Amino acid sequence: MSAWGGKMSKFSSRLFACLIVTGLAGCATVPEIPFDHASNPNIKTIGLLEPSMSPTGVVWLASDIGQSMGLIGALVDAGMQANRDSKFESLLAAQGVKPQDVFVQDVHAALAAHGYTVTDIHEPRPSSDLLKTYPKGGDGTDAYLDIVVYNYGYVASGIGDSTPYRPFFAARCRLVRASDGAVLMQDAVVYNPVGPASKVVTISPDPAYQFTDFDALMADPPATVKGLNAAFAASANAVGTLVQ
Amino acid sequence: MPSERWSSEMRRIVQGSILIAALSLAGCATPPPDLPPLLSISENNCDSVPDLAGAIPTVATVEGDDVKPAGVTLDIGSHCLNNKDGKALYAVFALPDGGPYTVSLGSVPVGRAIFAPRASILDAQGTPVRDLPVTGFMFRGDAFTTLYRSHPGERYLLVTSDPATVGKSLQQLHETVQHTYISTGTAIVVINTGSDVASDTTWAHNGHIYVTVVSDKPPKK
Repeated sequence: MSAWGGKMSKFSSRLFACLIVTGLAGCATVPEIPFDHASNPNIKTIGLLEPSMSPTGVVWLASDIGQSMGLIGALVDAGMQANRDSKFESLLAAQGVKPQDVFVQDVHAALAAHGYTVTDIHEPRPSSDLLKTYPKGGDGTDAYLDIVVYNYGYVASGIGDSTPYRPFFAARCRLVRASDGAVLMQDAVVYNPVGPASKVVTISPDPAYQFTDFDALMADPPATVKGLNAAFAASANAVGTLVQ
Repeated sequence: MPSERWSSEMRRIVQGSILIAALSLAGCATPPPDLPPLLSISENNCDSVPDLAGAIPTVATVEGDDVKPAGVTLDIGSHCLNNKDGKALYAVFALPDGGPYTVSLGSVPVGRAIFAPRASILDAQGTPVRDLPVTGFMFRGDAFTTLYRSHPGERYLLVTSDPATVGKSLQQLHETVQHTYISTGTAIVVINTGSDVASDTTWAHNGHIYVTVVSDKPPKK
């Protein structure tokens, strides 16, 4: 594969990850299933399956001039996107942030707050989507929580000062009973959705974390990390609420 | 020189852009009328028990079908209820026979007001069976929503305003991307522009609420 081909492939992967964010927000295709705690009083220990989550986030400009300039614009856009993502990755690494560890810890805290005992479970994932089959239990786990993080990082809806970068996060989750594989809860959570949303839990971003442009985002690493962590924590809390 | 692979990638990107455009267009709606938030209820003759005779009927649909929400706008002229923590406006929704169902209750902003919901489930005689936890409400887009699974014998959903929440303010941020299509005569160019807007509403006794009921029957093919 040529260098350009590789860049385009990565760009399209990123773009489609972003489309998933808007798709999650705009028209969830998986029906929401609310958890019926009263009918499942024996669910006390939840096995948290290792989430599907990219080790690196993205810094996504949801609209810019390049998107309107055909192939050349798309290529320029791809280069700029890759540059932003690379710098963001370096920033997180320099701050010692491991996004998946942070998010898993937040989910632990959220579930514990609702009285659950949580165990971490590593289950091989054949794809980056929710699992098709689940462990059969027998390990003291009453239910498995499957979480797929589609994307996270920072997003600006446009290029002007009035559309600053804010943290975003998008995930789908499912709670499955260990004894028979019944789906007890299924939903999606989007922190700071770009565009209309209906059949997913949506969380308005914390206004404390906004950066006028990419340079401002990179200029204050502690604040950038704090904003991302706020998105993780709020999203994890929403997952906790979904299984309360 | 763009390869076949590049062309394929670009096709996917264009298709993706069209999807985004469709999503954005789907979200367009006429702005709701402004409704000043109702922060206190002066009515002296509030009901001591909810009036089931005026219950709003709901219709069960199947997942994948067009939902048929049953909605009502509560305002100063609506029924009020004497609760132990104060007066509240209320509405009762009658659930269909059968089930089980996934029931969704939503409260959407109407101008500056958003109804502060609290909900409980009643049996056929109007006796409270269980309360839906206030902490279970979360936003799903514009709608402050809770979802629950119905149990046998649950016939009514009582929704009242929550005096403890009324008067509190709610600030939210909304990010969107607009797509403008410009024809050059030989091609159509899509211009994307973003917006980042803050909304400021107040939890109130008044506002618009709706209920949808979805059956457990298999999705429509």
